[in-house]
Amino acid sequence: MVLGAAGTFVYGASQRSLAIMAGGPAVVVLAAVIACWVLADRGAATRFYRHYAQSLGLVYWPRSSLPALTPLLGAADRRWIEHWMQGALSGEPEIGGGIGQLVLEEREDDKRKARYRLTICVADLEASIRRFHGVFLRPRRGLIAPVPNWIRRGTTRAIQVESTAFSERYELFVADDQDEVVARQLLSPSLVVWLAEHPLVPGFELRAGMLVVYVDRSLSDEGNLTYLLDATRRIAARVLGEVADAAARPAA
Amino acid sequence: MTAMYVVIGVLVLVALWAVLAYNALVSTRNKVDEAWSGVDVQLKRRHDLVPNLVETVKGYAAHERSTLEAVTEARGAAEAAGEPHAVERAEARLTSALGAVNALAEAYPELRASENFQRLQAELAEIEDEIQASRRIYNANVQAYNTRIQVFPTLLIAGPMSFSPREFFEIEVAAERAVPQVAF
Repeated sequence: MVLGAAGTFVYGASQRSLAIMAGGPAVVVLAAVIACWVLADRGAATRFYRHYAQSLGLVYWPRSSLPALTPLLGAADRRWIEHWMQGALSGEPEIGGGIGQLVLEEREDDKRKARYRLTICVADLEASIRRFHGVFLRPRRGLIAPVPNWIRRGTTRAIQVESTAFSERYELFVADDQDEVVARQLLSPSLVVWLAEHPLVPGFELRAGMLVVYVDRSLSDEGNLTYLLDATRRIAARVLGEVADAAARPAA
Repeated sequence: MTAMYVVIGVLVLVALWAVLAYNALVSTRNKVDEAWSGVDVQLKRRHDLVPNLVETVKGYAAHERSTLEAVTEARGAAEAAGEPHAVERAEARLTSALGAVNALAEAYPELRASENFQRLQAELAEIEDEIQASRRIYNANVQAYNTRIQVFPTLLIAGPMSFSPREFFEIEVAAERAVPQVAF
């Protein structure tokens, strides 16, 4: 930084330009401060997520990716996951999965057009593959949506749930080959009330045995991340409960 | 001529608003009806559980006939009830009767330890939760609907189109409603 500032000062003097002599070192110092701030911020974020993962018994990966099994995981032109924490999500029932920051990037002419950050929590629910072919619950989009629309209407259809409060908050879609009654059974009254009142307004996608619970913004504090984890466990328990109930029911 | 266009334009806008308001009212009313059917489904689940519960209890406490008969009668009355108010009263009675059955378990350790009874209790508790949740959904929808038909300007459509207010659904047991006495 000192060398750069001195260099620009000398260069300004050689050019007999007062502006470069005064402004050059200032720009160099400012650039150095910004670079230090960005590096320190990144370092702090990495340390926070690493410790958070450790406290939950999860393995931390600075960057990762997931197969595009649900519409969200296949959204946008490019996507990756930052601060991915993977392992057994403790709780009852214990399920495998992970939590991290999903970055979606839209590109145009090979240039970045827009970038969106969401926090996702993924649970591996292989037992649900046969019963749930595609259930997608999305927070209702306003006029200025914080994230792009990744649910294509050609392969999904919207269904209504009987709760006004829930419908004002969420839109529910199911895959074309999803039994609508089964999807409605999943959204039991208690789950509907719970979702309609949840402060994080979490959406979820359930397809190919993978449950992705998400919020359409980046959560970067321990309290909210734990809240999202709890929400995932709650929804996962409901999915597994419904699968178990269906297995226990005599075939029609 | 211009004034006529303005009047026609205003009339078209008013007509358009009336159509949208009417559709919104119908949609809200349908939500209330759907929510009621959701309550109905959960109540039916509870009714279906009662015979199994009675049979299980009978195996351990056969001479508690009056309690078991009360449950069976309350179940019959709950199934026969049609209007929300009648359902409310009948379900409150059934809830009380089921509470008495649960109390029996305290006096019969074998019944309490029975795996079948425990499973039915757990199932009943889960259904009670679902009833409570579906009741909240129904009441929230009723509130939204009642508000919509009472506020201006939608009341101008609701009144002439016979959108009447709906009643809330509460299952209250007298014992639960009583204020607990605290003595120091």
